[in-house]
Amino acid sequence: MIRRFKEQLLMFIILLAFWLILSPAITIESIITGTIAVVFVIAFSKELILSEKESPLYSLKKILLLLSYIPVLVLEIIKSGLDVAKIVLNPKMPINPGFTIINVPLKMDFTKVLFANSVTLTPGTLTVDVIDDTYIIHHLTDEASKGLIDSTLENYARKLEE
Amino acid sequence: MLFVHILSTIMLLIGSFFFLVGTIGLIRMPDVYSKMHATTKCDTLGAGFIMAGLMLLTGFSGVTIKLLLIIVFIWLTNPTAAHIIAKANYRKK
Repeated sequence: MIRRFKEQLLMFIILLAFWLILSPAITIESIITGTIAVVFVIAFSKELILSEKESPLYSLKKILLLLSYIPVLVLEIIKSGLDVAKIVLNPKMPINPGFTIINVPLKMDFTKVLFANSVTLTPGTLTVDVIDDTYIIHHLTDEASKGLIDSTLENYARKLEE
Repeated sequence: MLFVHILSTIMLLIGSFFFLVGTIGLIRMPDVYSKMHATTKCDTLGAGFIMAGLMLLTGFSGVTIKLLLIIVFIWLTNPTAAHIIAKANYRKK
């Protein structure tokens, strides 16, 4: 019960700070409206932040690891954009679409979402469905499906769970 | 000042180019999943370049933080939306 209250208080501070960043000027009106809105959001949502099972993710080491993941992801996004642009503008359209089914044992919902979204953002792959540990991934070219096995993204997700 | 303007214009042009390629891909690709490939990747990159170009123009102010937040939310929601559309088509059969 106390843990829940602490979580809600933390969420209240984060959401109110976010509201004040977005509002054009910090006035009494904007603070009052923001407080009311944030209280309603917290009252109507059960678990806005990570659940108890995922609480080890709060450590500083994990947050730094997550931050070091951002440049990797940005690089992948640029590569994948150029890749798809090349395929789309090629008059012959060298594609060979199909499904790849891979097994990645991840325990936490957070890392699962991170992995699935990163796969969608990497060249030529798109997450279609996740059933427990099985990921159904659509690939655009054959090379893309080969790149999925033992990828850097998977290693990052694994390291986050340790 | 002039240099920043040129740089941001180039970035805006690159961003528009990726949006154009994404749209062409949406028309050219044969099936739903392949169409999703074109739109998610190119739109994500295009939006990133356009926001980065605008951030150069605004300099360092409150607006810059808002533009950065727009990129963060686009990059979070774009793959999720693509995933939901692909999943809906996959489970239809």
